[in-house]
Amino acid sequence: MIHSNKRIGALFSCIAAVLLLAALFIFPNRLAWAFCNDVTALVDDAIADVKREDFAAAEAAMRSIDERFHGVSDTMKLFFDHEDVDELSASIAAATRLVEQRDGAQVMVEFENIRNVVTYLAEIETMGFYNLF
Amino acid sequence: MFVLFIRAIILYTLVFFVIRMTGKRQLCDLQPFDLVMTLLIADLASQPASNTGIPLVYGIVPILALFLLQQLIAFLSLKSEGVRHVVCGKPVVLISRGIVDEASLRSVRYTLSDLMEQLRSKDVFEPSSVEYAILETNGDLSVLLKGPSQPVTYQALSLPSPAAAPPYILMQDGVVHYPSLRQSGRDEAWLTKQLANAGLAKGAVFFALLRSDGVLHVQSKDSDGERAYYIEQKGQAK
Repeated sequence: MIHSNKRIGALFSCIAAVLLLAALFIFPNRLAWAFCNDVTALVDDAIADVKREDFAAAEAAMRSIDERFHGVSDTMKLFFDHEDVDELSASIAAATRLVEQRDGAQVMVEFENIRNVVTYLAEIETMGFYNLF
Repeated sequence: MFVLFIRAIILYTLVFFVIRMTGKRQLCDLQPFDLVMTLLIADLASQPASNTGIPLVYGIVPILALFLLQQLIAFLSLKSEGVRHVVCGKPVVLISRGIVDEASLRSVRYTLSDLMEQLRSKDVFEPSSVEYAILETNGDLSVLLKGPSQPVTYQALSLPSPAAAPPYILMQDGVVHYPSLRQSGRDEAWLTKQLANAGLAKGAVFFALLRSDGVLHVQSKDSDGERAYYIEQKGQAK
């Protein structure tokens, strides 16, 4: 009876571990890619706006990026290195300020940094040979 | 997260094979797959525990990966002898009929000093008195002494052996252990009566053990003199 209970316990703990892992394989990956796609599109819009010197539209795009980021930043800290999330937060804040100051040259650097960080966060959730090693 | 999972599996496999290759000297009463788990899990847990910048899931996912892998290996080892040989290795005979097998010794990277040390830990000082010494898969050495060196047993002397069973812990720190009491076939009224016969209140008992020979061994708490009582049962079936 005791052995049977232990076997059932071991089986249930394995099932629980598999389910938890399955959730962890799916949810952070989807979160990261959805966020990456949204932010990349918004950054592209902002870049186009800055190139046209339409800083008002770029400010609106930055506000959208900021809102999108703050909607998921806490959840992201559950699954990603806090340093990367903080770096993204700092880049978004810097880009917003540079757009407000109409500094078109410098803001491009921050846009690129935002794009790099969100792509990095999504890609580390992607199964690939180079990620493994 | 899936990348973390696979990375943990790769590292587990690597460490496992390194430990298997280093031989049984590295093991300490654990099977290789248990030892790998023990080695890796502490480090995996300490990383997110000590660094608040790292999410806990970075520790959770690899630990769960190791857990599942260990369960899988344990299951497969149970079901298949072939897997068991690969995972745990095979026992190696180091001494056969008093002769030390040099090739076996070399194959498990044991020096004669290691063997002698292991034998001494088994109270054996002469390899010549050993019939067989087998290095088990968990790194432990099992020793079978030659007939004349074996300890005398009750059976050899045709003597009746005492009943051997672990004692029941009936009380601890003044608290009755009812499951043990039930297993021993006694009840609380019996215990109270025995204690009363010894002039002890339940609250004064540090522990009460019912030995296999039916003797109730009671020790009072230090506040009550820390005295030992051996209460024998009259007409007790042994």
